[in-house]
Amino acid sequence: MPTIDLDLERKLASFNQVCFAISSARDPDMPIIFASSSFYELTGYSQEEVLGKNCRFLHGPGTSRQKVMEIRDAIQEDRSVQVCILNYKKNGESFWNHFYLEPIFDDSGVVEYYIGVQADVTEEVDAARLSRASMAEDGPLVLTEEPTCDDVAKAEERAAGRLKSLLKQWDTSRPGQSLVHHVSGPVAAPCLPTSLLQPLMKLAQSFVLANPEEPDCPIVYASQRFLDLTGYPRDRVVGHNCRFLQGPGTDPESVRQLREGIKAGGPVTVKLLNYKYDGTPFWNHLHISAVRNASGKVVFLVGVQLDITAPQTIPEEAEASAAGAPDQAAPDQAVSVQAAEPSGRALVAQRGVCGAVRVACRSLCPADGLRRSIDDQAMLRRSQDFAARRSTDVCRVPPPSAKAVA
Amino acid sequence: MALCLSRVETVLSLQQLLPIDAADPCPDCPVADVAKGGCLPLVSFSSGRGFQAKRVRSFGDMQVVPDVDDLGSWLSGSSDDEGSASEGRVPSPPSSDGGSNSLLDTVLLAEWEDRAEQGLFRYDVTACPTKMVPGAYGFVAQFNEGRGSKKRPTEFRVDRVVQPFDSAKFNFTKALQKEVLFQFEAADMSSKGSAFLPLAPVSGSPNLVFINVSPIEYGHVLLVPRALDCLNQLVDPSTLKLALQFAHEAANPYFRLAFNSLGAYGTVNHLHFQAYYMAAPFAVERAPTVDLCCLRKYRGVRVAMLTDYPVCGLVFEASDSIDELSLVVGEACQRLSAANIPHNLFIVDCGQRIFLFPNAFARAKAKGLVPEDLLDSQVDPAAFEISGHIIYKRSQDYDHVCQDAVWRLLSYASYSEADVVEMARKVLAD
Repeated sequence: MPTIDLDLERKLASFNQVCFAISSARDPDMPIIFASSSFYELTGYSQEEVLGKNCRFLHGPGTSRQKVMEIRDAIQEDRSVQVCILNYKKNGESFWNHFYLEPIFDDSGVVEYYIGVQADVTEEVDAARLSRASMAEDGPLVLTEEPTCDDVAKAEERAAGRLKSLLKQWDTSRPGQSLVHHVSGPVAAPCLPTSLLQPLMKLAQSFVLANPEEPDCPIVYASQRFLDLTGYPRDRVVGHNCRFLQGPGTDPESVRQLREGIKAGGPVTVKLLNYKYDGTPFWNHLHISAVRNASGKVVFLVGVQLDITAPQTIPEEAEASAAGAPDQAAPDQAVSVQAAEPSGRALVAQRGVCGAVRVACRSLCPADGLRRSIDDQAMLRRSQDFAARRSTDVCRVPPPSAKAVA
Repeated sequence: MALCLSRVETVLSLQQLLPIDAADPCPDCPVADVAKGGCLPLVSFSSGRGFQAKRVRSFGDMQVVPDVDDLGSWLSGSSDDEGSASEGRVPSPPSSDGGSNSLLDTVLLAEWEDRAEQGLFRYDVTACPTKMVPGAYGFVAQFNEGRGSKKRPTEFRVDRVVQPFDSAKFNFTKALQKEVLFQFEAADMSSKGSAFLPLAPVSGSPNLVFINVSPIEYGHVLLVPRALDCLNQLVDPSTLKLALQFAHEAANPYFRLAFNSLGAYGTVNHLHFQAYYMAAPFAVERAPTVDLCCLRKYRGVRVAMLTDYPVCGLVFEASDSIDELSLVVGEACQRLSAANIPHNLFIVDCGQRIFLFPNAFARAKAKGLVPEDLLDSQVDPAAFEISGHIIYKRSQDYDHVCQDAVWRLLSYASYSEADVVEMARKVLAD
């Protein structure tokens, strides 16, 4: 679980009267890394229940799916959003949450954190609903827009702004030191947008993404399972070509096959002997495929590893020597490891990763991909111009007869 | 060097690698043949979870993500009798809450990828350029020449929603078995999660998931309920419930289902739902809605109407149970069909929200109301188009697409608001 720096935590305590939480955008499922005491008071949850979790635990049966989608949309487009959404406390009681979400970008322009500010506006919403219900007797249609609560909105934006400058100050005062302590170093190349990183982090398989556009095709993302499998620390992986897995026992013919398969543009599968960080050899059933973006251009290679090393009964001394550094392991020792056939299910999981990566990359492109431009995002309140196109005014639709409504 | 390694082919299909000792699958035989005791891959789901039972959404979205444990053991090989795979030796961290992709999602993507590698699709859809149409609504346009030139022609009259099943025309029992990704069946009540079998005997009339050989996005599939029963292209509560279960099991908000009735650009009179992945919201998901206050909560389902959108449609949202949602919308579709009103369905949010559009395009076209330039572009406003994903067959249309053009095209598919309110009153009456 990522944790926040202790010094910063103390500074944030001065904001305790504001109900807010900070989530890490660069960790799997955007976990909350800090919440103010007002947040715990409002929701009734404890620190242990909140930290490390995605804030969707506030949703409940009456939560509008459309509002959830609006938040998801904003995260996808790296922008702030304000919604009035029905949330639930720990005791099951619902409340109207006037929620403001603001992304915090790092120097390279990717979203690093999100600040979420909450305000309980249940009273305002109830009052507005009552007055509207009396109006509703005239017609069958009633606007569902929640009251705008302008004062609340402004207060939230101000609070988020102050928090943001605190975080920025803290960041610049400690160059090179992250506000969040990630479990195993930076998770991906800084160029990888959060909208791509999040779906990648959902894939519980060993795989890497490499950028064929850059010299020597460096890895731009490595999954946690890849690090578990190979034992490499993340900073020895991201930014490097994945040939570091090769060693003295790797068959050059398989490597050639791999290279030609990639050059031909098609998917390619090879079995080759690879080496972990500690020098242990393993058989890698490697599948590599080219992945395209929204414009249809190849932007990444995805490589999915399957460890198909046969369970072995090696004599103890062989095991001991195999554990040396890669350059010390003699080829004939490496060969004592044998390959098995991959299971059908493992192969399904391998192909599944390729598919999921394709879906995620398909909405990207160098400009904005399937995301609206900044100008268009600003037009979230739709223009009168478009509203005026509808020939019928919703308020003028005749009321239903009592019989038809039954 | 005693390498126990035999050279492997560069590309292996999943079928080739699966250790199959059951009845020989015959990928090139028609689907109808499975009735004589064939085998196909199977994804089974627990029908008890999330449907009959009330969903508890507090902490709920963490629980709704299904089968993390199943997927874990499934991939680790611990319950795997297919050989001596060694993945089990890799220490795997426990899956985080709300973390991993669901089993159905993984199998669907994997099988689709496999069919792509086998070359079963008419083109690589990920090579078709796609872009956001500038503007606040966020319509998405795609340029896809292949679909225009290679799609099956519509073979029946477009002015009737209900037509008899004609076994002489194309239907999915005539598709090849290799186009089937898997069977999608309810497990018996005792099983607790979803499961995947690489090959399972077919019994009765299975729900089949086919690839669409002319895909409009990655992962484009067709869900054909009770495929061998040859149902007409008409939705009822039970088949709609299956579609919602499919969406629920995929558990991916970017995987959406659609239905096109005859007369609303359904092109095969054999019941099927379409589905594919697109990792962006559809314009219709962003559109504001107004509650139909007379029907605000109709049998546990929230009913609203789209506003500020080129096509007027109804929006249904489940609160507690997908059973109620499939009942309300399924019956509404039955009544629209009986009244000969062509319609489209668009299912989002893992089966929790449904858009229903009565579709007036064919009627407007028959009356000569649709301008020539729109007809020339050959864009058919079916469910995905109406929802905001426009597939252009000509480069000039794609290159010059603008929000006004999309709005203008789609508006011809719309009934007036007054008409839709009137229809809502009729189809939702008890």
